[in-house]
Amino acid sequence: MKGVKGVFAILSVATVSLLSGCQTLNGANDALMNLVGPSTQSRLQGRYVEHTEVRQYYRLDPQHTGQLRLSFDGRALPADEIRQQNLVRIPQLETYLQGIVTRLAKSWPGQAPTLQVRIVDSYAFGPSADPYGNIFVPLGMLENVESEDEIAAMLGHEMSHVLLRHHDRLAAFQQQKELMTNVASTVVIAAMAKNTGLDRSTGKFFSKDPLGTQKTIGNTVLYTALANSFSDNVWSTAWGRTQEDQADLLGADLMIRAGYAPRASSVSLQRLNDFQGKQKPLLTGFLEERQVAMTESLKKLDLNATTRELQTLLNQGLGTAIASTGQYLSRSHMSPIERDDDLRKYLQREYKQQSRARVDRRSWPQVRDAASVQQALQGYRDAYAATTALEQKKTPEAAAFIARALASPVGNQPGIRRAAFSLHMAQGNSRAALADLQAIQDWSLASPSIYDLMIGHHLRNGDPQAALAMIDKAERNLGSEELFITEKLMANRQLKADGQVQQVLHKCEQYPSRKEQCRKLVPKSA
Amino acid sequence: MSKTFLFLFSALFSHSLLAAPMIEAFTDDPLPVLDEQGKPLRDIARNSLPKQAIEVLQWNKELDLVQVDLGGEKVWLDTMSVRVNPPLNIVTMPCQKLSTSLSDDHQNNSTLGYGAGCAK
Repeated sequence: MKGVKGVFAILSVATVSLLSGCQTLNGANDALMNLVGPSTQSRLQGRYVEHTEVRQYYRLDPQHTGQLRLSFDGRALPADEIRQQNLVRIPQLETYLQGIVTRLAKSWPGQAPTLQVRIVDSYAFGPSADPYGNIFVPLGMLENVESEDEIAAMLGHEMSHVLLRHHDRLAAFQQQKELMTNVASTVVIAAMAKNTGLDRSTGKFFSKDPLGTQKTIGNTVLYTALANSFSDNVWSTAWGRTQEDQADLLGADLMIRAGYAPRASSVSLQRLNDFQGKQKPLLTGFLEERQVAMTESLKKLDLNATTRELQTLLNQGLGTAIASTGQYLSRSHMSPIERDDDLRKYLQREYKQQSRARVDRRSWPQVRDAASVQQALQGYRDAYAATTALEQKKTPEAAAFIARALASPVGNQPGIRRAAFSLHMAQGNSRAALADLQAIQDWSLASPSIYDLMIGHHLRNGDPQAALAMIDKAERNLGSEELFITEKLMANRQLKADGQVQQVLHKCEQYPSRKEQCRKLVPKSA
Repeated sequence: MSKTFLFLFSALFSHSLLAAPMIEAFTDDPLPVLDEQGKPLRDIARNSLPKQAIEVLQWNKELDLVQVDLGGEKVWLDTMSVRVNPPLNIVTMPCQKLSTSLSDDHQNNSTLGYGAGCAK
């Protein structure tokens, strides 16, 4: 047990120092308060937009503004931050949604960054925002809302995440997790080094204390898993809830200042609740999952004895503590209804005069039902229906839906063409499937997976020039050189362009998650 | 008159043919009682309200009011003052009914969303 305590102590110290040492983690206390105490809304006096903690964001940080521009002008966006969905182009609808964002932005008393609405081919309900000022509106949201006020409530919420720079905290949280894993790896290596000797007569390494090393490694794996799971489930929950509360508050302030009816924010949260349905509590099965994961990893290390010991430890002590934390979280985590209750109290307190303001139920249906918008939305509905039919092995039905989708005004957009590609692949017609992708008109709308399909096709068919042209398009449209850098290397190798190979390899080595793969593709002798 | 009645009737019952909407909780204390146009009439303290769920008789969607029977008197309440189940505001495509291949949000790691999303 001494070793267990030692590892736990090292990781605990590491966690505390990592959490306290980072400026962007300063909200940790507030987050914890929000997790175990009353909500942000109930602790607040006055309107949130006028609050001191919000005022600090009135002035746009020039460095931050620079970062906002970076994703579109350069090719330096990290690969894991690129949008994964196809964009949807429906000009009339985009202009309308952008107009709502502009109206909301005017009600922000500070300087607003450039905010760009982008419709995405997804039937999820909730919009999302990235740190670069993109507000992604899924088709599923547009299918379900009934008024402009509802749209404003949801877009105001997303804008608030950007205005309050919540993404900075998200990045800090992810960084903290990586550091934790690094600390754990160091502990493992140190333990192995300490207990490993070299037999000079044979030139082979041997373990001086196999059982001790095994225990240390096992415990480190255990505590890293626990610490990271704890981070995931507790800290992200705590911060998540704080951020959602703050975005609900500021979003409501913005929409009311812009002249929308506050009740619409409650309506959209009710719809969100209906969309999510009965969700599994965040931490249900948490402990079991950790046990399975650890048992698996330890089996690979062939540490059966340690596994048994850890299991006992989990069953007897730590498990109980974490499970009870989990139960608390699963009760109090940010359900839309909880958010709605808190928001209603805030609106009642701060905006009593506007409480009976009526929702505008006319302007949104006018846009939604305009011929061009209606036809485009129907095209995407048909593509969605085709995908559903394909999943149910109803190929003839899927073909009928695809025929309609392709005949719609959005027939040459990536989301529709991707669905047609899936149909033709299911029919065994790879030539037609390829033609589906080649017919995409505007590649700036395409998701990384569609680029991946095309680049892979060109490389397999020995057409590196076409692959490079597609990679260039992906770099320009997705804003990342990292994403297809290994494919770029492969294409240049196929071309036997040695100078280019070395140049790309040099760039690839700047990306930690890619460099090993690139090095394997270009052996030293090459 | 009959047109209005039909609208209110269909608005209420097209939502769910089986489960009549019930008010499960009052979120305001005191609870404002309104006239059919949404004008305040009087307030009722929460402790004098029924503890059990009460049936929603009508829903005026345009004015966002629900009519209930409180102690033999039919009154109108703001939907923001009550919690109704099944809810009045729902979606046509809930997460559970989405195709598996389309339900995942596929959002990038850097986005913050409106809710928990839909990953099945």
